[in-house]
Amino acid sequence: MNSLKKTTSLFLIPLLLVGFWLFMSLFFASNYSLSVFVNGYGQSNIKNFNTNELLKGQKIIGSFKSKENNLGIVGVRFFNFDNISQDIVTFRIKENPSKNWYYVHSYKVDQFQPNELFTFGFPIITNSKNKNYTFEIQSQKGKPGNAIALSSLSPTFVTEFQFTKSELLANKTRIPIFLIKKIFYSFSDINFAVSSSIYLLPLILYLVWLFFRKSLLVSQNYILVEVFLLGVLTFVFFMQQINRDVELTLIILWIFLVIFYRLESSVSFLLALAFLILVPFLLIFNLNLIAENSSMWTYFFLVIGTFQAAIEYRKKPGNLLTYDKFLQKIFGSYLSKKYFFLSTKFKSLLS
Amino acid sequence: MKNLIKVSFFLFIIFVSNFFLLRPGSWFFQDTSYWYKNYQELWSGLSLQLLPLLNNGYYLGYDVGLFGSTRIISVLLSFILFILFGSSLSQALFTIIGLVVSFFSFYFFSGILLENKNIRYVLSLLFTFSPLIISAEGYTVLFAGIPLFLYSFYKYFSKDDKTRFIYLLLNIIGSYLILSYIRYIEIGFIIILFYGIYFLLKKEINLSLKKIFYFVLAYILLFLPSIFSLAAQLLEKSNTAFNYATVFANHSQFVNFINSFNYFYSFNVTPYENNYFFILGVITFIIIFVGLVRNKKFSSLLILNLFIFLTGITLYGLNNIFNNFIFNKLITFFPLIVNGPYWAFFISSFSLPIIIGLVFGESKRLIYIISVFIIVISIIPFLNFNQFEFRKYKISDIPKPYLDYFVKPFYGIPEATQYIPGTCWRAEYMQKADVPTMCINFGLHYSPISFANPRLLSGKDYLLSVLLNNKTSLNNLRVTHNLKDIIVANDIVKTKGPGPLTNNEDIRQIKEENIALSENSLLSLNPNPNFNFYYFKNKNDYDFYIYSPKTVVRKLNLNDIFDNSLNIYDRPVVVDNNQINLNKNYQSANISYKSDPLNSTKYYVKIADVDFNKPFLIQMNQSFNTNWKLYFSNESEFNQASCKDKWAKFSITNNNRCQYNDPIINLSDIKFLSRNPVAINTHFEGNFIGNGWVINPNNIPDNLKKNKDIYIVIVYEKQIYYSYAILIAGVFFILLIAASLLQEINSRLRKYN
Repeated sequence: MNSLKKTTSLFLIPLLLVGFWLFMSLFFASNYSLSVFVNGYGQSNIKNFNTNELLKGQKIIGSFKSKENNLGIVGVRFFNFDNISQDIVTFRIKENPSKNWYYVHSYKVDQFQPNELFTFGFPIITNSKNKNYTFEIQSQKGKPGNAIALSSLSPTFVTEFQFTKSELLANKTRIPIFLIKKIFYSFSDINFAVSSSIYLLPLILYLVWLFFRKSLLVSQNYILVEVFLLGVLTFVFFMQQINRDVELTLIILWIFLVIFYRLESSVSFLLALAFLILVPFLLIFNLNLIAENSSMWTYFFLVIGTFQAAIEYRKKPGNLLTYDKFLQKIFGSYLSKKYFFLSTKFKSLLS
Repeated sequence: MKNLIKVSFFLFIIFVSNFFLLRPGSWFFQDTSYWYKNYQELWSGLSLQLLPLLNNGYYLGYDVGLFGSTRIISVLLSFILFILFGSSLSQALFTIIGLVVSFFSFYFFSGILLENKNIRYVLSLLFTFSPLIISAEGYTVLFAGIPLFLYSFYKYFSKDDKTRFIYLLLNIIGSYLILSYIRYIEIGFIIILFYGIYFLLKKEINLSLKKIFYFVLAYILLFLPSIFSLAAQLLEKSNTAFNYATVFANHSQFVNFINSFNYFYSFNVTPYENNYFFILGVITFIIIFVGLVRNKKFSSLLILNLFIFLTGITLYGLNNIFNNFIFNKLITFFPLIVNGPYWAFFISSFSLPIIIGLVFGESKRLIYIISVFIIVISIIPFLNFNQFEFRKYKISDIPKPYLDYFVKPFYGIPEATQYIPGTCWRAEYMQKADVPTMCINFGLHYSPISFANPRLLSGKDYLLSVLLNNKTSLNNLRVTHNLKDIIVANDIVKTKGPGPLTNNEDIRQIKEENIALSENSLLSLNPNPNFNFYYFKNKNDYDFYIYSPKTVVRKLNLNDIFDNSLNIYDRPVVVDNNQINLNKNYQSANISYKSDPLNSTKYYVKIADVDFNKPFLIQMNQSFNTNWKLYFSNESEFNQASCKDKWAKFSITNNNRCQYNDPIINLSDIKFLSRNPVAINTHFEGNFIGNGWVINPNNIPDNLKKNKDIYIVIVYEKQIYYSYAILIAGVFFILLIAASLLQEINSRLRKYN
């Protein structure tokens, strides 16, 4: 029985969690499928980069050197000023120094989402590796107040290389190289890197618990919470696109920690407050996307806290860890003394 | 807190937040510009509540669709205020009364949740003067509806066995207020649902069968016009029934989720749109969250309100949180849902005062400090009279052409008019670049033929309105729309938001359209500095509103309406459907019809100079609907509708017209229902969107064929039922008031004795 327990805890569960990490990273950490390589480019690849409205006749001109074969998509990140514009843009791409455009097509911009990549697809160029390409995006009807612009977020645009299953299976020796390249390209995308590390979090927390479990039970060490909060902060500060699967993973982890540590709802509300306090500071420094992420986590902790409060009201459980004790545990006695002093001062001002 | 202080503070806040309204002049800003400038507009506004076929200025009219007559209470209030105080002051008083009623509604409602009167007073101020409510100027009376409904619902279904009619009456009034603005119905529903479940679970209400019976009966009888108009639309399988919802629920954008925690968010007027208010708004929420964290005891009421608050934010950030998937699922059940702050935040703002009251409940001083802080920040922007949204304008300052054409009352039959660039103009109206939107015309004299509002029009009516945009080849519209005039702005300037924008391209386009119209030899021009008034030279010689066509022209494409090919002397009717079996030519009768500009649902018609043994056509250029019916009448009925003016004769269309007065609610019209409608099977869509009838010899009874003339009445049949629905609702409303008064008087007398 003991050996079964040991096998489960030391081998089976970690294996499952590794499997979880791999599965989620491969299929849910990226918006791109397994057989697609994605390369990101910055503002320097755009001629005269600016984030002004693209008005009628104006063009966005981008250039890049293709790193792989099978170039099939150029994805450009736009901003629509939170309006649904009626403009139409024409996308065209050619290989340098050719005068003829390889592909030309027009698109309505009302489908462009703010700060998201819009993919301009074209017939796959099988031998695109190491060749230079130029693309243009020209506005047909853009007017002030009714136009789109380039987003200031990075990457400014991406190139996508599509490989087919038959291609990969035709020469199986290329598969390991393909996978290594896939991992390399994936991790060059910050969103993939953050998502993948969050999916790794259950394994990390489990391993931490495994190695520190005695001290966790005895001295109420809250290292799991600290690791978790690090994960959330990584997500808030570095994630540039919405990934609900990652958010869901973090939410489930937090619920698990609430149950494990018997945290009161006030702790969830405290975390909501903490992320809310971050928001104005982030906005002052023009870190709008991070502020947006922070406000989203304010909401998530508020929701969890409210449900906790409802359960506490109904079931009236005892021995829950309140927010002040939580602060003490996480940040040590120094901060809690300072807080206690401020709290007393505040109360005396009011009375 | 002494009562004197409370009253003084309340009056002070009312005065400060509405001082910009109390200045002389008219206030018009976007939607709130729909205020009456004269008695004619006032009567027109009231009549809209009593008719299922509205025009709201639009020449052709449209069926009201959902929830007819629900604005009757707010419209009656504005009507009374206008009569007593005139245009300018009534607008201000309407808003102030809305705020006062909202305050008291919330005060009484909070009484069922909290005991301390001072706390209730402060929280009621928080609710009433929240940024969302005081910025929705012109609609403030709407917000009294939800707390009034909840309070009266609770009191009516109280544990006391007695059925108190006064609370039933208040509940009905609360419901009317909630329903008075269609887009907020679901907000009311969501909050009421939450509280309803709360009351039930806490067993604070007694759902006795007797009380439920009276409740349901009262609702059916007093909402009969609304129930009828909705049921009729559904039974007709009308395209328009849920148009408002389909168009309104536009959700394609991700929202700025940070705004969920900005307390100072406004709607309609936007005085809080700068970073300072945003920071203050977030700080306010930080303070609330601190209270939440430190709150030692979570009551069921606090949890309830937290859930309501979260529901508001969730609905606001629906796409951010769940992507389109959940939104597309929800929209099936909640057709008016939209993830805009101006919708979703009303849900969260309802619960915030109570949350503040509960989390800081132990420290009254803290509640007062926080509440005063929020209220002062909320009302301060309203003192910025320089903000163009708050400016008032004297009617006498309006340029004379606008005054003469669009403000001076006109009691005659309106003329169908095309407007370029549309009826809602901005700076042009006051010749400044920063004047708020003003929709200059309710079509009282010059009714627009275009009404590109997809919430209210659908199908060809809407498509045609969109096609009409900036078009100058309009000769055919004399026939299809009875078009008489074309008004083109020539004082357009470049504008800045909010509101419709005009830029250099628009200005250039309008100039081109002016040139195109000036080259049309059929038009004469009456220019003035503000707009060019074009009119067809022979406009007084034709009336294509109700006429008897001579020729049938087939045009299968809606765009053919602009090919200028119709010859008005042929007295044509256009048919755009190959399925309709019509001859190419018909004999044309002499039509004499009587029209009431305030009631577009009935016309008395005399048909003469035609052989009744041969078929002929009648065409009415009013929006096609199968509810339009022809009934045979007689000379006596025709003459009873006596003309107010002389008969106007139109030689080209061989018809005559006079104006008469018909009461909007005419109960004697029920007699038409006992008659067989004429030519019901040969009712077709003529002139693209109008009503045509083929009158065959077998449609006419033999005894009538012997007469020289035949009399018919064209009736929008739904109006007859609607009138009775309004009558029943009105009678029972009076009965309910009487029952409530008697019950309360009796109860007080018994107490006294």
